[in-house]
Amino acid sequence: MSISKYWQLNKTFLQRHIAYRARVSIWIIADVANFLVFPFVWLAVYGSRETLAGYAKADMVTYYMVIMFISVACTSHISRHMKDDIIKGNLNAILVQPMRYLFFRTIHEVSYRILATGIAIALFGAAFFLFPAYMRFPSSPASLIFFLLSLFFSFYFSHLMQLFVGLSSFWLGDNTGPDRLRHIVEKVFSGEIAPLVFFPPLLQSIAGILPFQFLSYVPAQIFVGQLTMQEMRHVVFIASMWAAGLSVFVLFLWRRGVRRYDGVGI
Amino acid sequence: MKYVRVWVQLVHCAFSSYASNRIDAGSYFLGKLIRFGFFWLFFISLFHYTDSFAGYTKWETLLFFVTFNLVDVLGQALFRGIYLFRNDIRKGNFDCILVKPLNSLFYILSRLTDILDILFLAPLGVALWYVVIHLPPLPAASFFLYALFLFVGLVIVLGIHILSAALTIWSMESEGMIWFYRDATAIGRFPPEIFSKPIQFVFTFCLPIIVMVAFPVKMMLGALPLFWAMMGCIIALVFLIGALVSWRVSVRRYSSASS
Repeated sequence: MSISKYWQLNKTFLQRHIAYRARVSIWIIADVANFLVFPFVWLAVYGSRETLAGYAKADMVTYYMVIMFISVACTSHISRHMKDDIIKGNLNAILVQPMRYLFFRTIHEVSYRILATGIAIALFGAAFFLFPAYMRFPSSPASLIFFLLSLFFSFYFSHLMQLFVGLSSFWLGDNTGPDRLRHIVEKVFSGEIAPLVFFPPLLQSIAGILPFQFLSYVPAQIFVGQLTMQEMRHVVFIASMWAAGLSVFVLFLWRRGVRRYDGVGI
Repeated sequence: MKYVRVWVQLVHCAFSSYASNRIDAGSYFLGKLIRFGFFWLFFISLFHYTDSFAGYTKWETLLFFVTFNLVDVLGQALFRGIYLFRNDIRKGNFDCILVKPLNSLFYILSRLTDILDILFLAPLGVALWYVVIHLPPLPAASFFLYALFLFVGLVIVLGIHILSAALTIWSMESEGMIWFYRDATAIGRFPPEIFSKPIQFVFTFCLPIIVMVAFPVKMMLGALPLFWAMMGCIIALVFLIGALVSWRVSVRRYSSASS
C-alpha cells in the first residue's frame, strides 16, 4: 500500500474543505451550539451546592466542553457519502482506482477532522480563557495521555459506526432512517446529554455494556478526573477489544456488500 | 383553495415515499421516541437533585420540554422541504420551480411533509395531556392563549425557514443553517430564566426561540405580562416580514445554476 497517494488524497480533500469554508464553519457552529446550553442547565440545578454525584461545577462545565470538542473534532459523518456512492453508482469510479474504498472515504473524513480539530482547539482554548473558574485540566500527565488515547478511540468508534450505517445501503438502499436511529442511540448512550451517572441504574447498566460510552463519556470522564489509573487502563483495554471486533465486522460487511453491489446503483 | 389541494397532493406523495421504505420510516420514528423518552428521563433525573428549576416545578419544566417538541415537530412536519432546497440551487432546478404556476416559496417549504412528525404529534399530545393534568387547575382561557402563542411560535418557525431559504441563494448552504437553528432551539427545552440576560435578549429579539417556546408556556401558566405578550406578537410579525423581504431580495439576485 502506497502511503504517498493517500497523503496526496488527504491534501486534495483538505483543499476542497477549505474552499467550502463557509459550509464548514456553519456546521461547526451548529455542532457547538447544542452543547453550550447544558452548562447553564446544570448550574441552575447546582444552585448553592458545590457538588452533585461527585461532580463539582467546574467538572460539569468542563465535561460539556470536552463533549463539544469531541463533537467537532472526533465525530465522523461519512455514511451519507457512502449512501450516495452506493445508491447512485458512484462507487464504480472508486472501485476501479488503485486505492481501497474504505481508505478513500476514511481519508475524506480525516482531512475534514484535521480542519475541524484546529477550530475545536481554538474553541476549547477560548472556553479556558473566558471561564477559567469553570474549567479544569487533567490532574496528571498520565491522565492527559489516556485522554488523547480516548480521543483516538472516540473518532475510531464514531467512524466505525458511520461505516456500518453507510455499508447498510448495500442492503437497504436509503439508510436515512437507520442513520437517524444510530445518531439518537449514540446521543443517548454516549453521555452526550448528561453524564451517565445521572441516569437510572438500568440505563447506566445498558450504557456500560454498549460501546457508545467510548464516543464521549469515557474521554470526558478521563479529562475531568473521574477515573482512577486502573479504571483508565481497563477502559482502554475494553475499547481496544471493541475496536478490533467492530473492525472485523465492518470488513466482513464491506466484502459481502460489494459482492452484492451491481454497479448501476440501487 | 388551490394551495390546499396542492398541499394535500404533496402529502400523498410524501406518504407514498415513506410507505415505500418502511424500515427507514420505522427506525426514524423509533429514534424520535427514544430521544423524547431519554430527555424526559433526563428532566426527571434533574429533579432528584432539586425541587425547583429556575423557579419552576417539575411539571412546569416538563411543559417547556413538551412545548419545545410540539413547535419543533410542527415546524419539521410542515416545512421540511427546505432540506431539499440547496440541491435545487446547486443544480439549477430552482428555475423549474420558478416557472410553476404557484408561489415558489410555498412549494419549496411544503413539498416534503414529514408524515412521521405528524404521527409523532400523537405521543406528544398524550405527553402534553399528562403534564397538564399534573399542573394546578388552569382556566380554559389558558389553553386558548397557549394555542394562540403556539401559532405565534409557528409564524417565527416559518420566518426562520424562509430566511434560511433566502440565505441558501446567497451561500448555497441551507442544511447547515437549519441544523444550526435546530441546535440553537435546544435552549427552548428549558425555562429561559436559567440563561443570563444577554443570552435571553439574543434569543428573544434576534433569533426569537424564547418567544416560540417559552411564551406559550408562560401564557398557559399565567406568568407572561401583557406587555411581553404583545411584544411577542410584534416580534413574530417583524421577523416574518423581515424574512419575506430577504427572500424577495435573494430571488432577485438569483441567476440560475450557471452563476
